[in-house]
Amino acid sequence: MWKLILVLIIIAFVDLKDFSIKEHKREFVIYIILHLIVLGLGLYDQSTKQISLMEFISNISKP
Amino acid sequence: MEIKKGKIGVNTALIGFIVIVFSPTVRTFGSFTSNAAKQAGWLSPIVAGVIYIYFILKLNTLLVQHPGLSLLEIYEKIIGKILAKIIAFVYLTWLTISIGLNLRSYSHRISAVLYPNVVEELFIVILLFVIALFLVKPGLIIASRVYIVLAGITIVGSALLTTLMLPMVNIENLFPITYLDIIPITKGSAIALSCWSYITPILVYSDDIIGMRYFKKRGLAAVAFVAVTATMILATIYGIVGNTISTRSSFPYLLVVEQIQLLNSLQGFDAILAFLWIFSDVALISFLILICLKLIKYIFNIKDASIYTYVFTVLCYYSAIGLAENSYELGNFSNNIATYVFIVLFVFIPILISWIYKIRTRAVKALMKSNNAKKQA
Repeated sequence: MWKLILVLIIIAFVDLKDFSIKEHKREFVIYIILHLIVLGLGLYDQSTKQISLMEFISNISKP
Repeated sequence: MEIKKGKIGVNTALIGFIVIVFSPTVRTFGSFTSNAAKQAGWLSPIVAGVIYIYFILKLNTLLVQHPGLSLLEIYEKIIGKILAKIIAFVYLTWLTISIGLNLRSYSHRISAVLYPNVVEELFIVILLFVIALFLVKPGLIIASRVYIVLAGITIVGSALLTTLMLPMVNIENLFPITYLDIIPITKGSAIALSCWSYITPILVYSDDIIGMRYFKKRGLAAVAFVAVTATMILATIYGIVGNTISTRSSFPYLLVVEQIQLLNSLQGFDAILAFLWIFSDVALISFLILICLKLIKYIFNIKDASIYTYVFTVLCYYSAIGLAENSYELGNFSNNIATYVFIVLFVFIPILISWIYKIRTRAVKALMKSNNAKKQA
């Protein structure tokens, strides 16, 4: 998990180097949401109850 | 050179289309068509090509009547903003999943063909890093220049492989074909309809493509090209190994290429195929990421989506590893779910919207006619 957090911090440094948050509030909010989604996926991937999308589809399509 | 003022030409876009369909064609067509239509499966791309003539004509109607707009803006004009945004969101979600599907297929293939004992995730990370840094971040123009180079290599490489394989084809494996095969061939054409539907996501960039008035002519030429190429590839697969082996093999085309022997000494042509696969996958995944960024831009009404490149690339990594546990699940997902979702989203929806547009235009004309008649009376 720490690898993912490190990658996201580096990405944020690179992306926001010449970025003005005041002028691009909406873009920044979406940027944060995307980071949170990625963090959520990273956490889910580490979880012991993690199942793949295909497994999920076959579970819900069982009679 | 068609590239002008930050835009690409319709030829460049369609060359991109030709190069991105090579990888799914080689990967999925062989086993899917032989499952559906047995020895007649090699004719499936021709049926799909005929259906695509109608599809290209419908897309052309939408694009020519709304010049300078992206496909989603055209949707917005016809079915309203809310429905267009919902469709854009569904496209974004599905394309993110399909990036995962293509990434997993790519890594699985590379580990099966070139590096058997290496962790598959490593290939995904390396590919995503290269794509994000050198193709997606610089933008569509730079990426499209790379696609032209990759298309040249892919076309020459696949033509070379096909030429080398032609003498090995056993014509008896391609026949008999009777009128009873029409329905199985049509069923088999689903995979071609699905793979070629990548033309619709490319048109999300139609506002950045110049020369759309030539779309009909060039689009039909591109479809004819991919249909003939796919038929040749399938004919070589069926002609060399037969439909039974093709049904049971994960990579029937690779199996066929491995059998090429030149002058009774030169072998190992599968390395050429592996590189063609990598090139096509690079083009496919980078184009899909660019399209997703454009969709984000459209959905949230923002001016520039390039700052999401890296974070979206990381998202694609999780989409790839969270898709399936193993290659069997991946194959099931690709053949039984993805094929039909692609057809519904990228073939059926544009056709439906073009029908709505036609009905609306006729209704408006009829209304104007009746108003004029009332005024005159």
